[in-house]
Amino acid sequence: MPIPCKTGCGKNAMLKRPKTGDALCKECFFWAFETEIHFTITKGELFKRGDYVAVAASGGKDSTVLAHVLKTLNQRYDYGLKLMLLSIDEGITGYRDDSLETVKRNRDDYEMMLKILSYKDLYGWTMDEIVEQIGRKNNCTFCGVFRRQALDRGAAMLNVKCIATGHNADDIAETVLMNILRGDIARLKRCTAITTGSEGTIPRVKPLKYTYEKEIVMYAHYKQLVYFSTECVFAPNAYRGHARALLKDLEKVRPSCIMDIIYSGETLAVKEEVSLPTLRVCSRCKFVSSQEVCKACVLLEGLNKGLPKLGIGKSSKAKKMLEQYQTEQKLKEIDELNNEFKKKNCLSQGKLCKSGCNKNKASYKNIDNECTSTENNSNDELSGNPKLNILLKEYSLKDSNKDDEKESNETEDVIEENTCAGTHGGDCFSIAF
Amino acid sequence: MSSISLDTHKKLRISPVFLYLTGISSSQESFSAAIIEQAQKYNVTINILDISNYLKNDISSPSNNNYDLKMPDISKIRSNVSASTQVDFVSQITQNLWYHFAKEFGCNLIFTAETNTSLSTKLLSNIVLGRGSQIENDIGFADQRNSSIQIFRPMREITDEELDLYVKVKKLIPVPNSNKNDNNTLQSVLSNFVADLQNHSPTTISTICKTADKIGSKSLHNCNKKCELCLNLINRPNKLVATDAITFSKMVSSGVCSTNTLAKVLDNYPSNVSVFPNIYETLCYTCSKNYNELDTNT
Repeated sequence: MPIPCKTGCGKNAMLKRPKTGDALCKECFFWAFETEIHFTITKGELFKRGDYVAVAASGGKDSTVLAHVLKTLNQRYDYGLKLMLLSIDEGITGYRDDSLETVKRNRDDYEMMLKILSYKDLYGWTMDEIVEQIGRKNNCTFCGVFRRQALDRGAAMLNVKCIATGHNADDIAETVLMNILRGDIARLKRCTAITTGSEGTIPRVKPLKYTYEKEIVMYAHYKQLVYFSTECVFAPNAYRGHARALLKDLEKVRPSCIMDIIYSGETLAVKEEVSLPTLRVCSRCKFVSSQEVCKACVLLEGLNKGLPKLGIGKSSKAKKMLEQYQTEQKLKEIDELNNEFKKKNCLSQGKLCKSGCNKNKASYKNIDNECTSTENNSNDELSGNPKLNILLKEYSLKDSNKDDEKESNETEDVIEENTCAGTHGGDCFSIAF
Repeated sequence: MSSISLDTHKKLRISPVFLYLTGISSSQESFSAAIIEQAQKYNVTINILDISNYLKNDISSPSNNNYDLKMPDISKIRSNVSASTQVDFVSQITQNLWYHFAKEFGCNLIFTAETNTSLSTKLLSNIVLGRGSQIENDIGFADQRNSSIQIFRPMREITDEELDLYVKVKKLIPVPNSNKNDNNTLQSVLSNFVADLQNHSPTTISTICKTADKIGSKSLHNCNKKCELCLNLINRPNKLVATDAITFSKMVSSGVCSTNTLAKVLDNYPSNVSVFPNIYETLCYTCSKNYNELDTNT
């Protein structure tokens, strides 16, 4: 027996809304879906008339629906916005290169300008190359951190007022759970904010904050929107997977728990006596950072120096690793200098031969071999690395006495450590698909 | 009991009163006898109360008589509302009863036997049920929501594992837990999840409890309203929150808000459409949801 649409429009219901359980016809569902996003934009005061807005686009369902709905609402309610698409190419073969084709189609369908930035251009590394070096663990940390900065860079290039991301209600609920499980109090505090960003940075807004992922899928399906739906090949080991699995189990028991979790996140606060990292500017790249050197720069330095664990975990560990590396480099340089000296000069009983001959050159081959045998493999790999030479000239970590105090008091992971969930974009600094 | 009987120069000078609440789950009756036996073994007096009496006789009536909060029969709570709501609602009533009888017995402190393990699950339950702002009282060492009677959790830093070891070493014979949750509740899902994750990551429970230590609630300095059920402070948020989104969704899906009336609805929002009865007046978000479910189904 057909069920009438709950709105009383007279048509038969075609679907049951996962969010409210109400049976609606297709047209009423579209209207409800779009109007709720309009409500979020209006009451959340996300945009102002005349704003240039970059829509973070990955080709996935969230960003595709976001672009479509923003274009629709912009016309319907005359927001006066200028919308454009901003996409990041992480360089993941078989995944990102395919989804970018979808983004290009979005550009054509919605008649929006598109800007694509790649990790290769920005950092000199693709995710494929990064994973090759670091393995399958912690790769979401690299991707998430780099993507966040890449979005900021792209937004600055486009000179936009804000970035709209496709983070949906499920993403935010997962993030709340994940931050509690990981004890990341700083992120927990801000992860439910509908607008994020500090002074001097381009803010990010989440128009889909109260939109259920299932409804996004249904909307895209019924509207026949084209999107890319494959999970990132590097995502399976992300910690966020635990939170996602938990949320799916909870949703089966009570679908409204997603909104309840978001409400909890919105109403809890951090106690005043808890110290949180203060935001400043990275001394190298001048982007926002909670440390002297931002996470992106630390991770990049680690990649270029063959220290894949640099930047993973506490910043105090990164500092120790770097100091150790620099000590080894200095010892290596000293050894090379000594060898060079010995090659060029003849020594007898520890004293310089004044005859000016080079007869003892061959006997130092053994010493050379001993020296090279103590070198680690990473140094062998780096010896011919042109990136290292450029970066060593441009970047160097400065010792700071103040950081020693912070080391002993640090009990949390570095604020910018990030995990990326391939299909849903990770935390509030990454793109949702 | 060991601490009280210790003959040291610093004696624990408390006069404990033992209270056991029954009627919370249908399988609880058989445990009362075992609990009485335990009490006799330690030569203490235990007071046993059936929770149904609270609901029938309305022992602890709401302080504000302007709102008509009718408490249903406990058997109807069990049969007509979801198991998760039942667990949460009954836990609030239980706490109110503790306060009531502590006052009757002249006690100003209540000790509960919650461990690190149970509190980590409780924290996640609070988050999932929408009680994020109440974590400080529900999970902290001291619960100070009642001005005259405080709840302390002296075993807060002890895990269930350590507790089991202590029981074995001391050769104690505990009564099995009579309040086992239905397998299909949010609380049981979370309990199983925490146990599984703890096996893979042994720091999970301690990390969750440390997170709880850092969480408070939004500034409620000027707020003097308390929820009638859970006694936590309530305050209407001054920005867009999930309750607004849920209410609007209901309006849009039910036809209350249509194309013609949208502009008016948005201008006059927050509206009088009651999805959450008495919210921010006499009930907090979660208690309002629970009450709505109870009211609708009983």
